[in-house]
Amino acid sequence: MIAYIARRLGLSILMIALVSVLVFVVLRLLPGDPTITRVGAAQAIDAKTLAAMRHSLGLDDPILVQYGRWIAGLFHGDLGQSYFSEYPVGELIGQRIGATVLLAVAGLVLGVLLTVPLAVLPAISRRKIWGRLVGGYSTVGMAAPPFVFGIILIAVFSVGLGWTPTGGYQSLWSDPGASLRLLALPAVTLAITLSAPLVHYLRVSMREVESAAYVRTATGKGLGRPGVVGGHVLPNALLPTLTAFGVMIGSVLGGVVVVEYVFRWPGLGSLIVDAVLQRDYAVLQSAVLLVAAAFVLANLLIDILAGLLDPRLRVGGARTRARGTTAAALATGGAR
Amino acid sequence: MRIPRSRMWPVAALVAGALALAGCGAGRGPAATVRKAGATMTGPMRTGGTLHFGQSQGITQLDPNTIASSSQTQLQTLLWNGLTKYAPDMSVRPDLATSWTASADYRHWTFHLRPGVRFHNGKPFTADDAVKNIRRVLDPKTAAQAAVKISMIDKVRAAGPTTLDIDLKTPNPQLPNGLVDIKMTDVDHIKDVNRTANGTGPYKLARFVPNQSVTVVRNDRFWGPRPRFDRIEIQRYADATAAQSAFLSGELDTLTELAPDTASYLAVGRTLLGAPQPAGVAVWELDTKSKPFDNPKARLALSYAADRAAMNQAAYAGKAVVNDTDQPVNPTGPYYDKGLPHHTFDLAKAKSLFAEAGVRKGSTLTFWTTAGANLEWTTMGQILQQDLEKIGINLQIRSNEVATWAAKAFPKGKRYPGLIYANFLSFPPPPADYAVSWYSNSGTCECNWTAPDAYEKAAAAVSRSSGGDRARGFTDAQRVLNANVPIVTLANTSPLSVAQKNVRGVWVQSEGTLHLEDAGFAAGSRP
Repeated sequence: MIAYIARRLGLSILMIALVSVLVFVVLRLLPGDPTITRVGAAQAIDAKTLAAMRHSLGLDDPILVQYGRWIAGLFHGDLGQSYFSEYPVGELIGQRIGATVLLAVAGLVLGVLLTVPLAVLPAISRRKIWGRLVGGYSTVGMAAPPFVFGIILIAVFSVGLGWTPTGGYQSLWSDPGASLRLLALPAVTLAITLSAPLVHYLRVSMREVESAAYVRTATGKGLGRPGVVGGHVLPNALLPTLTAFGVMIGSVLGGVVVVEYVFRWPGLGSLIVDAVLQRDYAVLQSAVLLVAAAFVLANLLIDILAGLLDPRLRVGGARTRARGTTAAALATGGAR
Repeated sequence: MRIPRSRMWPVAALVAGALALAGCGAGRGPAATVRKAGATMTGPMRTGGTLHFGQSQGITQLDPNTIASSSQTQLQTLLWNGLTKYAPDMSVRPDLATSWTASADYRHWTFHLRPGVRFHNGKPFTADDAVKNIRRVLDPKTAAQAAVKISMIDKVRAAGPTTLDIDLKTPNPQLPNGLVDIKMTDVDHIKDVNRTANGTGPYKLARFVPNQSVTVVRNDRFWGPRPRFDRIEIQRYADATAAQSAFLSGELDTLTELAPDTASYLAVGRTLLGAPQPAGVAVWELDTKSKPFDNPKARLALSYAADRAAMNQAAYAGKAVVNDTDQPVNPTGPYYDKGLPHHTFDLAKAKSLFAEAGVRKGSTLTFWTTAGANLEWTTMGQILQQDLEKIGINLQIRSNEVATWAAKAFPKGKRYPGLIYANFLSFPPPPADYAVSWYSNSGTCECNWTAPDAYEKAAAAVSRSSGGDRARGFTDAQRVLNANVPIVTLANTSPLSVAQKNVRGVWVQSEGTLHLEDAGFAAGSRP
C-alpha cells in the first residue's frame, strides 16, 4: 500500500509541474496583453507608453527568465502581485479561498446527500413513477447549464418569495446565520449540477450490480428490498461512482465559476476568469496552479480510498510495476 | 413522433421555470413610455442609509489618474476632488480651486486653492500636492489617460500653500476643463492608493475587493456639504439577469451599465438615467493605411451601408442620437455644424462607392467586436451583415473577449486590413478640445489617419482659441472629418442606469459618469 501511495504521489507532483509549465506558456500565447487591458485600451495611450509598462512589469524578458522568476518566487512564498490592483496574489487568493471552500464543500456534501436517496429510492420502491421522476431530474440536471437553476432559484425564492437575498457572501465565522442564508441557493444550485450526473452513474452501476449472483442469492434468502439494496447493491455500486466523483471535482470548478457569477459569490472561480479576461498573468498562473494542485490532491485521496476499498487496484498497480521492471531488466540484458 | 410522457417532465420543469422568471418582473406598466432623464428627481433628502449600487463590470484598481475603465468613474467624485469639476450643465466650476485667472494670451494661469482641506489620512492638501499630481499625470511612466487633456502644460509650481501657477506651451483657454479629470491624491503615499484611496472627497474608502466590490463611508471631515449616505456599497453583478433580479427585488438602489434592451423594462415606475446630450459615440474604426479602407470611397461606402435608424432601435432601444455625419460632435449639441452632409442609409450608393474602391461582389470584410460585453455592437454588426449581403458583400462577424478585441487595433500604428473595428469613444463634449485633437496627427486615433493641413489648422484653433474662433475650429474640423470619414460614427450615446424612486440627487455627465456625491434618499423614505 505504501508503494502504491508513493507512486500516486510522485505522479501527482509531476502533474502539478506540468500544469505550471502549460499554464505559463499557454497564457503568453493568447492574443492581448495585460498592459493594454490595464490602461483600458485608452484612446490617449501610445505604443511607447505600453512598451515602458511591459518593461517595468518584466514582460519583455525571455519567457524562460519569466518562468524561472515565478517558480523561484513560489519557493519563497512570493506569488507576485496583480498587474491591476497591485495586491499580492497571495492576498487576493486569501480574500476568496474561504468563500470557494465553503461553497464547494456545501455543494459537494449537499450533492452527495441528494444523490444517494435519489438513486436508491427507485431501486427500493420499484414503482415506475420514481424512476421516471429521478430520470427526469438527472436528464434536466445534466442538460441545463448551472446558471439556469441559479436564475430560477433566485426568481422563485429571492424575487418571488423574498426568503433569501439574490446574492452576496458573508463569512461563516463573522455571522453564521447570514452566511448560511446566503449560501443556501448557490449550494443547492451546485448540488443539483453535481448530483444529476452522479445519480445517473450510480443508477447505472446499481443496475449492473443487481444482476450479480450474490444479489439474487440475498433476494432468494428472503431479504427485503431495502436490505438487498442497502446491504448488497449500494455498497458494491459505490466504487465506480466514487471514481466518477473524483473526476467531477474538476467539473465542479467550472460549475462554481458560473454559480459565483450568478450569486455574486466572491470566490476563486471568478478571480480566475477575471484574470483570464484581463490577462493578469501573475494572478492567473498562481491561482490555476493552486486549483490544479487541489484537484490533483483530491484525486490522489480518492485513488487511495479506492485502493483501500478494492485491493485489486493496489495489486493491479503492483503488477504493472513488476511488468515494467521485468521489461526494463530484459532491455538492459539483466538476468532474471 | 410520439414523445414518451417520462421525457416531458424535464421540458415541463424548464417551461415552468421560464414562466416563473417571466412572471417575476412583469406587470408594472408599459415599458415603451419610459423616457431617460439626466438626473433623478429633486426634492428634500434625508441623511443616512446605505446606497446599494450594482454594475456589471468589476473595479480593478483605484488610482483615479490611471483609471482603467468606465466602471470606476462614479468613484472619481466620491473619493477624490479635482481643482475643477463639472456642473450638471457641463459648465466648469470650482472644486479644490476656488478661483482662477489667466493671462490675456491664455498661457499663464494662477489657481487659488481652497484652504483647510485634508486628505483622508489627515494630511493637509496644499499647492505642493497639486503640483505633484499634475507632474505625475504628465509623467509618461504613469500612463495616465488624462495626460493628453493637460499636455499643453509646460511648467507647474506652487507660489504659496494655496496658490498654483501653471505655464502652458501653447495658449489654451480651456485649461480648467482639462483639469477636471486630474484628481488630487496624496502622491507621497501613492503606493497605498488601492488600500486607502488617499483622496479629499466626501466619502472614504472602507473596503476594496478587486473586481468584486468597493465600500465607501461618509467622510465626516469633508470640507464641503455633509455627505448624505452613511455608506455606499458598489457591487459587481457579472450576471445581468441576477443584477436585474436584485434591482427588481429592491436589494439594489441603483443599477448601471444596463443592456439597452432591458433598460426600459427595468425603469417602469423608476428612473431611467442617461446623459441628456451624450458625448460618447458608437463608431466603427477602420485602418486608413491598409486596403480597402485606405480609400476614402470605401469608408464613405461603409457609412452609407449603415442603417443607423434600425441600429438605434435594435441596439439602443431608440434611446441614442443617430449620428450619420462621421464626426463625433453630438448632432443635438451647440457646437454641431448643422450644414454637414448626411450619409443617410443608401445601399445603392454604398454598392457603387465600394465598387469604385475595388470592393466588389463576393468580397469579404470582417466585423471585429467583443463577446460577453457591448452586445449592442454585435447587434449593429448583424444589421450591417444583412445589408451588405444585399449588395453581394460578405461580412464575417468575429466576437472576441475584450483583451483579444483590444489587441487587434490598439494602440495606434497597427494594421488591420479589411476589418471593421467596433468601438465606443468616450469624449468630453465641446468646448473641450480632446475629441478633435484625438484625430490629429499628434493624436492617438487607432484609425492611423493622416490628417490634412486643413484639419490640423482647425484642431489648433479649437485648442488655442476662444469664442468665435474656437467655434469655427470645431466647424472646420467636423467638415474635414465628414468628407474624409476616418471613422464611421453611428450614434451618440452613453451608458444607461436605473434608480429606485427614493434615490435623489444623482445626475449623469455627458460621457455617462454617474454623480453620486450629492445624492441621498428622499426625506421620509425607508430608514
